[in-house]
Amino acid sequence: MNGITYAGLLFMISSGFTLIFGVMRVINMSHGAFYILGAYIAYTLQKQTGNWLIAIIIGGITVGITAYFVRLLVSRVKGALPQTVLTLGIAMMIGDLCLYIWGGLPITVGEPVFTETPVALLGSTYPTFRFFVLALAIVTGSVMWYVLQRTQLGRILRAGTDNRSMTSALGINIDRIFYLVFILTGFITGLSGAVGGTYIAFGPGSDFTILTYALVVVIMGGMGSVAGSALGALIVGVVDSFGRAYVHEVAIFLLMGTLIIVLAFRPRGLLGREE
Amino acid sequence: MIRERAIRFSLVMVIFVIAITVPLWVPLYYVQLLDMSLSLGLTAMSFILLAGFCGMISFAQMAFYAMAAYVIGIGTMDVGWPVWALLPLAVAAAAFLSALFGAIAIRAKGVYFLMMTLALSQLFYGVGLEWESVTHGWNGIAGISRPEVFGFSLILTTPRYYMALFITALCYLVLRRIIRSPFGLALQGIRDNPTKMAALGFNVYLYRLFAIIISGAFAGVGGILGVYSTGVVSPHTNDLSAIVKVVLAALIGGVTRLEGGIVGAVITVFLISFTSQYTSRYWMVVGAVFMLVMLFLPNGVLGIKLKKPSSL
Repeated sequence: MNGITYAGLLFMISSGFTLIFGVMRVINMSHGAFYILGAYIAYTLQKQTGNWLIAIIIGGITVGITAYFVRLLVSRVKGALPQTVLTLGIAMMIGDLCLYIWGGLPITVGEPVFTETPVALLGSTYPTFRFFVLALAIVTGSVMWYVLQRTQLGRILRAGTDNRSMTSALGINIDRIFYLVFILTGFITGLSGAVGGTYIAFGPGSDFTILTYALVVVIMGGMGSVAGSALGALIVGVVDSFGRAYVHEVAIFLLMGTLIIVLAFRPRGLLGREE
Repeated sequence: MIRERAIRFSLVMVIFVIAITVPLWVPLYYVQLLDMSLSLGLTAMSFILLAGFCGMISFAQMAFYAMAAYVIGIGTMDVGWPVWALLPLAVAAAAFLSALFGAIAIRAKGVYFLMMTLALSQLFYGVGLEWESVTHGWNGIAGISRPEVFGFSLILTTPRYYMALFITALCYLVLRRIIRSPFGLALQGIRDNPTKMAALGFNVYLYRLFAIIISGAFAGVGGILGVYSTGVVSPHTNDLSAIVKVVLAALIGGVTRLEGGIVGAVITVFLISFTSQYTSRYWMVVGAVFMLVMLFLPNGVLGIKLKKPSSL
């Protein structure tokens, strides 16, 4: 059960990552930084106002705005590789800024009132908040699926993933789409940071742990595929929770081994397609 | 042509003389920084070998570096093996890890390769952090004793600097030889046009894999220099800020030439050292420099110098 709720969080983190990669072929190295920025802002707001919901939404919006500026900088450089490397520099700066403002101690965002009472499940109690995370992840995933499959924006995004130059040749302002994707991703990631920050403690360095998990999930699921990142998140969540519960120290080998086995059979990830 | 060669020769001599005499006229602290620059520079050269000559941006160089450093650390402090056995073992371990990572990541190209190597090296970071019974977890292994070479203990900065200088120079010459060999030329051919090289009968996969293993071994040598320089190995040896340092060193120097790694490493190490004297926000500065280099100096410092002769 822990594995599945954790997978929900991982999906929220990695879906935006895969979306950016899908349309732009850029690995957003500042993804983890987006996560902790959202978490820190939610932490402060929750403390000030006591209202958790407002805190996480403003956290999400702030990161969305940050993402806009990141995209602005990234567009100054040509080529996917230099753009990827540039986001790494941005990630360092955001990470250091957070360290400067909020200090070096790991913290958690205060839990919302409505999940304070744990629920009974199969004879034991289970924190309600984790169910809430799972529900939120399912809602996010469904909305994303709906947007991608059923709306005009989704059609453009899918077309952009398949063939970027052809899409822009059809008269679609792909540059504006890139901005939109960055802002949306920033929002979702900031939100998942705020929610994830309530779930697990975070601090300096969490940004790169999160980035690693997002990378593993997306590589396993297939880069650029939202459904793939859902599947990848589920596998990583369950394997990692299982490993942490039963084999402790070498849990990371379990994760690494799973990744290697998946890649040995499906070099492009589970749902990835050939270039 | 002859004049150019004379200029180049005298430049090499000047650098050589400066490198040899530098411990005589700068404070010891700077010698220590130079020593650190050399281990970073060697690793940056291994990065450049892949990035500049094979077209593969590898973010796993610090994992190979850390692997060698862990072998030295654990071997010296916990197992108690002699140095002469540990040194080849450390390089072999780094090469083995690079073969493993390479075999997984090699089928991916461009940004995918970068992503794979980053994920693998961060998983290796996790190994260092969580496998406490072997790696000592978060704190790692500190106070690693240094061997003696020709009666000079490498715990002293100046002999260690000369040792690092000698090894780095040797590695540079070997790497340069590799790049200019038929093997190296084939790699550059594969970088420019893999399909054509495959059609010409080159086994692209094996060439790439060998390049990664060679680069991993050299990063391992860098790791040995590094661990003797600081005496510490921990997960932070391979954390993202360490990777950033290597990539920054390579980018500042320019990935088109091996020398770029050393030049960039010296600039990076001194930049971090100087800014950290004035502010504890030096990662902010490093991040900013990183961004500025990407925005305005995509060819690195050596890239600017090279442009002038061709325009004349």
